[in-house]
This record gives sequence, C-alpha cells and structure tokens, in this order.
Amino acid sequence: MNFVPQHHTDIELYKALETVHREQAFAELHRRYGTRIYLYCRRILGDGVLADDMFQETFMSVLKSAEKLTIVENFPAYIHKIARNHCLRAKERRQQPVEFDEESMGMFDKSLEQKELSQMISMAIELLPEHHREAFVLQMYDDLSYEEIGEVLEVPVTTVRNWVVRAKKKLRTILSPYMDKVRDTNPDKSY
Amino acid sequence: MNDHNDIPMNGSDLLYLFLDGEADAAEKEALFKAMASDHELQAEFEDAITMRHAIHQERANTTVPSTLTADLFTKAGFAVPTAAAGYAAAHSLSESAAGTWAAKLLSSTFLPWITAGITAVGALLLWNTAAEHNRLNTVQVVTPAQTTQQLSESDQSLVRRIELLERSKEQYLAQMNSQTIAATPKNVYIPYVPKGYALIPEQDIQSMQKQLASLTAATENLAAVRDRNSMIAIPEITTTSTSFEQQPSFSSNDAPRFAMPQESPITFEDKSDKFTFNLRAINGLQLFPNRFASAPDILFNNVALTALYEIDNNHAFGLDLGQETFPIFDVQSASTLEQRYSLVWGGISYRYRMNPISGLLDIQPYAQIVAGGTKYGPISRGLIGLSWQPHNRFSVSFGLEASAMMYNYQNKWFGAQKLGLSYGVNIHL
Repeated sequence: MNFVPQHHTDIELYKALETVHREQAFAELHRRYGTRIYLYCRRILGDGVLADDMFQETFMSVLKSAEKLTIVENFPAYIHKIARNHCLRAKERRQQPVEFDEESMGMFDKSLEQKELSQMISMAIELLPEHHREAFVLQMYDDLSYEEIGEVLEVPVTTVRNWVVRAKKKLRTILSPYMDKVRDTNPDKSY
Repeated sequence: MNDHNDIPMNGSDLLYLFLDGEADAAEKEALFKAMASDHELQAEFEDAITMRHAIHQERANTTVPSTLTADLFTKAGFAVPTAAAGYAAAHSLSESAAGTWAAKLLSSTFLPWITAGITAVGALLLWNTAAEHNRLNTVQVVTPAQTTQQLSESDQSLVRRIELLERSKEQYLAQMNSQTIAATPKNVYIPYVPKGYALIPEQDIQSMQKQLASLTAATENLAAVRDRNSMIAIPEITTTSTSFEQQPSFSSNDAPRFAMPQESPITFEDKSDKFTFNLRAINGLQLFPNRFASAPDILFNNVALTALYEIDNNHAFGLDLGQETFPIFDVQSASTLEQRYSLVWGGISYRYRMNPISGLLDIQPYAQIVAGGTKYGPISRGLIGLSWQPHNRFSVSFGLEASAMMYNYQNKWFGAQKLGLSYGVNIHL
C-alpha cells in the first residue's frame, strides 16, 4: 500500500508513528509542526541551546507516546502541550534570565526595518507576565485557536481570551513610543 | 483584575478578538461602531496590524536549522531528510562553532559598515601606495643620468661625473674610512691607493675644483628640473652637494688629503604642525533602522571633536568625542521602551591622509576610522572625504561618515547604523 504522508491528517500521521510508515509520518509531522514548535521553544526559553534541546525532546516525546498508543484528539494542542511541559521543566532547571538569540533563528533575509520590529516585539514579549506571554506566543506564533491554547494551558477559553487580549494591549503599551515612530515614518504604509 | 473571569470587553479588547477571528457578529458590530469615531482606537488597530504583520513575517522567515533537524532524525533512528542532509553537508563548516560565529558576524547588519570602512581605508592606502610607487619609479627613471635627456651634452657629461664622483666617494668611505688618500704631488711616494681610484695629478686639482663648481651648478640645474617635474627629493642628488664640500686640502708636507666629508643630513620637507583639532558636524543622511530623522533640540547634538597627533604627513592618531542621534531604544522602566535620541560617544581615531593632489587645489583625500564606545555599547565609525588647506594653520574637510553601534539588552546585542555627511574645520598647531 502506497503511503503518501501529505494526504493524511495529523491524527492519522500520529497513529502511523507506530506502523511501518513511522519514518515518513514523523518527517511529515516535523514538516508541519517543526517551525512552530521551534519558535515556541525559542520564544519561551530564549536560550538557543536549551530551546534546541527542548525542540528535540518534544518530537522524541511524540514518537515515544505514539509507541505507547496514547490517544490524541487534537494534535496541535497535544504537541504544544508536550513542548510546554518540556520548556517549563527546563526553565525550572535553568532559573536564569531569558534571552533571545535572533541571529540563529534563520531570519537573515529580513529587512532591517522588519528585523528591528521583530526585535522590539521580542524584547517587549519578555516584559509580559508569564501566562500572558504563553498565551500570546501560542496564539500569534503557533497559530493555535483560543480553544487549543486553553487545552495546552489547561484553562478555560474565556481566560485564554483575556490573557491574549491583555498581552496584546500590554505589548502595544510597551511598544507605543516605537510604534508612534513607525506610524510617523510610514504614514501611508498599509499591510 | 481576575484573568479567569469573562470580563466585559471594550472597543479596544474587541479589536484584538476581531483580528484573531474570535469576535462574534455582535462584537464586530460594536467594534466597527466604536472605530468610526474613535481615532485612538483606529491608531491601536493600525498598531495591532503592524505587530501582527511583523510576527507573521518572522514566522514565515524562520526555519528549523538543518543541523537541528539532522540531529533529531538521527536521534530518532531515521534517515535524515534529504534537504536537511544536503544542507548540513554543504554547510558543515559554517555551522561549526567557528562557522556559527562567522555566520552571525556576516549576517549582522554591523558588518557592512565595518567592511565598508576597512575597504575604504584599504583602498586609499593601496591607492596611495601605488601612487607613491609610481612616483618613486618616476624618480628612479629620472635619475641624474636619465634627466640628462633634458640637458645639453656638456651637462650630461657633468651629470655622469657627478655619478662617478658619488660612487667614488662611497667606495672611498667604505674602504678607507678615515684614512688619508693621497693625490699625486710630484715626487711624493704614494704607499697605497684604494681599489677603484685613480691617482690624480696635483696640477689637476685646480682643474677639478673648477669642475666641481661646474658640477654644483649642474646639480642645481638638475634640482630645478626636478622641482619643475614635482619630483621628491632625490637622496643621490641631495647628498651630492656634500661631496662638493669635500675640498682637497693640502698639508704642509705637500701631501694633499681628502678630508672626511661632513655629511649633511638629508632633509625632507618636515611638517611643523604636529597636532590637528577637527570640529565637525554630522548630518544624518540615513539611519538604520530608519525610525526618526530628527531629534529634539539638544545642545551640541550631531557634532564631533577630534584631536589628532600627526605621525607624519599621512598618518595621524588621536581621540574622538561626539554626540549624535542614533536609532536605538532602551528600557526605561519595567514596561516602556524609550527612544534614545542622542548618545555621547568617544573613541580612538586613526586617520590616513593622502598627499595633496597638485593641480586640484592641493586637496587631500583622507580616510579615518574610529573605534570606541557609548554608554550602551561599542561603536565604530569610518570616514572618507576631502580636505583643503588654504592656510597652513587652517583647513576644511567634507566627507561621508558611516557609523555603527551595538547595544545590549538582556544579554542580547542589537545594532544601529547611521550614514551621514560630515563637514568641519581643522586647526593645525
């Protein structure tokens, strides 16, 4: 039987991890979620080496859980939950200030303006309260819905909604001097 | 505030729900109604869009490093995906420890300015070296013997005599040191004649003195030709004059002696001014990132003062101090990023100035590099420009000035660059 990974859903691929097609399924899941998990680990941990380790641990945990025939209903939420648990444990072990390593994140081709804006947002994200930051990163960087974020963070959707909105408002307040200048510099710029 | 409650949302809150696709119909209607008359809400909407766009761009531009992918698949016991394997193989060097460092450096926006500065200085150095080489070649070509093309036959003969006399003097000095050399007075026994020397009949001494006088005149003519051709001083010619001081002296025993020539030092044009003070304004043409073109009125903003010690006509070292606008931000309180309009910086300066371009008002191209620091981090600058010195104590300069600085925030380094026009005055003391 011909197995075409691209034609399968996340759950089907996850289940395939315990079959002869496990290698192809793993590669496809990595293709679909690799960047998102990588970004999540980087944004939550900052430290490049530690984030890279947790990224690998996340995928290894997915592989192992599949072997244990774990039932998964929402794969995006599931893999992010695994990533979160690894990151939280890593943070507890580390107990060091968060730092970001933008240069090693494969963003060399960005324009200066774009790069600076990303840097400013990164800096501002660090100033957010922990829960707000997590909700924000999951929503903005990992594209999870409020419901999925609630599942990952194990809180009601209404709480997620409040955290995400508060995070964004707070972010704007932090960046307001900068954003004023962006508006002044590019008055006609629209996205 | 209780985050766990479903707090009633205002227009600002609804804005984010709407952008996240989580607002229902009633919330959308309420948002649009509020936005129609609330300019602050409109601005917030614009900011939210901007931030959202930036994050999406970052997400789109981010990829998992190939080495990380390769490691993961290896750890899982799977074959490394072709793309990652190929990339990892091709970039094994660049992703080594040193390679990573180099890649970071190369990817840094800081590097282009360093490169530009170094290239500019290097190009000027090479240019000047090549020009100097050509001049020296010209001088070598226009040696006294070959300058004779511009002289008469008799002059040519004199020039050759100059060369012969010079060569003889050098050999004499080398072999005999301070020993006496005898001429050939009548009936005087000459015990030793240095190799390469001919004995000169005494009666020829007077004649030789006349010849020497003629040679002196010829040398002066040559010097005049040399000056007209803008040649640099030629040691061979300059020292020749000393040989004419080498007058034969006659002792009481009728044994003429050549006194040791008193070497007069070869003097080149020497600058009397050793210090240069430069005050210049820096007009920002472009800031990177280009966030603000003007700063509030700050006293002595965008100016720099340089004190240089002139090693010679070309090289100078000194100190630079300045204050200028730079596009950086820093955290002023727990929750606000503040723009720093102006920075005070200082550093060590090296300036290379080419020789004046004759025929072009003696304008001197120059290049200068500065390495120093600010309160926030290191700074480097590169300047290239032209200076014109209408008076020996005063000159003006004009050029391009590129600077780059790095600043640290929570153990991360950020960069800011500036390109500007630089114009100033120089006082030479």
